[in-house]
Amino acid sequence: MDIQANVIAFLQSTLGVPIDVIKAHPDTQVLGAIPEMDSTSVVGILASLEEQYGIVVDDDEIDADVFTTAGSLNAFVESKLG
Amino acid sequence: MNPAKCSIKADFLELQGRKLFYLLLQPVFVRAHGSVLFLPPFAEEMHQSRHIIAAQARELAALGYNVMLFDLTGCGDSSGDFADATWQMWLQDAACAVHGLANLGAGPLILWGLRMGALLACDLSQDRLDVDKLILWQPLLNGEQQVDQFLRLRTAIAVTGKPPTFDRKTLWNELRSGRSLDIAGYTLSPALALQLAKARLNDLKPGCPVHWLEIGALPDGALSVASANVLAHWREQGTTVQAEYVYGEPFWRTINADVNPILQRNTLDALARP
Repeated sequence: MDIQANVIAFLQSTLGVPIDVIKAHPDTQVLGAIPEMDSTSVVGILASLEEQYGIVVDDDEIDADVFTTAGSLNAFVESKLG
Repeated sequence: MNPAKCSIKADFLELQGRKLFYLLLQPVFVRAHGSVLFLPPFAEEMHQSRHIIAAQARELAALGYNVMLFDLTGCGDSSGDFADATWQMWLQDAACAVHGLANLGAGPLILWGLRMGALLACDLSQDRLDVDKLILWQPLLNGEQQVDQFLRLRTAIAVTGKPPTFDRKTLWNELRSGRSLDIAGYTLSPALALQLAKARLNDLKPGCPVHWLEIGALPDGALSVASANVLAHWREQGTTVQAEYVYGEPFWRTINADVNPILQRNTLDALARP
């Protein structure tokens, strides 16, 4: 199960940005670097991840750090899957 | 596709004093040989997906299906306030639309549901013999997840900078104590939220064959584990299920998503199968 590829794909499809805007690399900057990334996008991406992986993300588990880079979001999902 | 290949009529269905707005799309050059009722998704997802649904409906009508698109009570152009709608009311709305479409008498009757609409379709099909097939697009596995994700619209602002002033647990508690919530321009009543939260695909037994289409963001992806579990459960209890994965955008939560030609074609194929 390639979580990083899914995370990148969810970011691209939810934000509706061209593929080259979100490069398939853990260091790709997201929150604060991509104007399309707002609270509605956060909701969309979390919903996609919850549905894909059958996880439930609580409010106190997420903060801006989780969405800093593609890699940080990937690490968060991996931690949820334990 | 040429829009002139189908006719479009707009009118209202009457149900217990409620007026349900509907569009009926019908073939012009061929005789209708099937009837498709679309069951809509929840709140903003309905608006985000409307153009995709309309495109699919025109395509189906041109190819010989009577297609009905309608708005649930308190949604779109139907009467009532969102704040007064309940899950039971929406099931009654859907049953009323089935009746209206079936009265036109064109071939097998198919329920086509997107997200929450898929949950409605399964629930409705349980007690009916007049539904021949379900086409489910990205089915919502349980209503609780939908409500939870909706509540997040009020709390996610915290992620992008502002300090959190409430969390979803607090919002759930508000609902449980009988208070409505204003979220993203909707007044969510405790009645609707708590009823919807109880609806789960795994607890339902569809009354007819099901064709499940799941849309994912990876070109070579697969059904989610949670979906596969529901499908396995349905197969065990004797429901005929076909499921396929389609690569594409989550158009129900994307502004101005493009029509997905593979989803369109696979839907046509699924309808045409006996």
